[in-house]
Amino acid sequence: MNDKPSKSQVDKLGKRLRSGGRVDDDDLELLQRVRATCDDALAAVTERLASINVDSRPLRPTSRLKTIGTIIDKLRRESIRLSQMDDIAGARIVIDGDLVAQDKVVRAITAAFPDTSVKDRREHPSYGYRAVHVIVQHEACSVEVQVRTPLQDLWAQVVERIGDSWGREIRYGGSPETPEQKFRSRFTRHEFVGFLMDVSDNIAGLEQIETEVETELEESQTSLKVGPPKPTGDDAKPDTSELAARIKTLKNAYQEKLKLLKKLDF
Amino acid sequence: MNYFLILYDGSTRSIIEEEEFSSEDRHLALERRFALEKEYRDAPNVEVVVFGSESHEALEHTHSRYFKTVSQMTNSLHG
Repeated sequence: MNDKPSKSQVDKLGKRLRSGGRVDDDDLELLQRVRATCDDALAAVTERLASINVDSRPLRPTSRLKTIGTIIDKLRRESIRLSQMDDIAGARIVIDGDLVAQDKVVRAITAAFPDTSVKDRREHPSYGYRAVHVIVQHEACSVEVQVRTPLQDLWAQVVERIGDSWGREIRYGGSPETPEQKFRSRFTRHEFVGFLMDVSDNIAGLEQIETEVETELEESQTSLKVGPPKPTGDDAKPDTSELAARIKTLKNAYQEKLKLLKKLDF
Repeated sequence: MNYFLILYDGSTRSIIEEEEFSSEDRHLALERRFALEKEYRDAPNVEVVVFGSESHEALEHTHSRYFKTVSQMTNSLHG
């Protein structure tokens, strides 16, 4: 089971999986070998992640090898070779904190492994999906470590859960099955997917402003200890009343959306 | 690390089968997963997956969509 298939074998398999049809016994066995070769690396990376504490809190990662369905979906969605797929082995961490804490966890992970790269999907969201991914290279395998805040994770889990019923394509910008079908009288399914994108934007706004407030507070505490007087006039930071008004607007919008999500028996 | 094998039916959003394996039995969990993948190959709505996690509670934290409805997920974060 653990004999490593050649790159050429892997890419030929990818082409066959992309072309559709039933996965035959030989291809299924080969796909299982492809994934099994990275199982040891995944276990080693996950154990190392589990040993990391950030601000005295353990990361508590969960690991998994990608499913057959999501591998085939990705091959069909993207012009990628199977040997290039860097998330066949993956781990997930849901932190207890904000964007600043998320950055801290990402720095701790990149410091723990000699060969990593970072994909910041907060700056470049993928159809509403926001997170930071760290790709760890270990024993000739790539392991994708997803680092999410609680709000980023909630959004992703909600979309995946709804995707179970309406089709996984909604996670990647595709239409839901029967897009014009009515949903909770206010929406069509298509419109509801648009609503979920608004929720993602709303969460991004809230998390961003939370970070701004935290940074403001830190800077004001630092300037109390040392440093020059705060700038005035056009160079001044936004005053607290402006910040408070922005927070209130964002929170109200988010609370309105939450009311609906809290009722969804999906 | 413990290993949790989950057989999940997306069409009914429910777990059909769940098995737990110890750290020493990681390879056994993978073998079992691969056997189930073969068995359910023609059921595109059925996912077979093995998660490595310190506990079931930690798994539910990172992969809540297998265990909770949208309403439950939202309420557990926002009360």
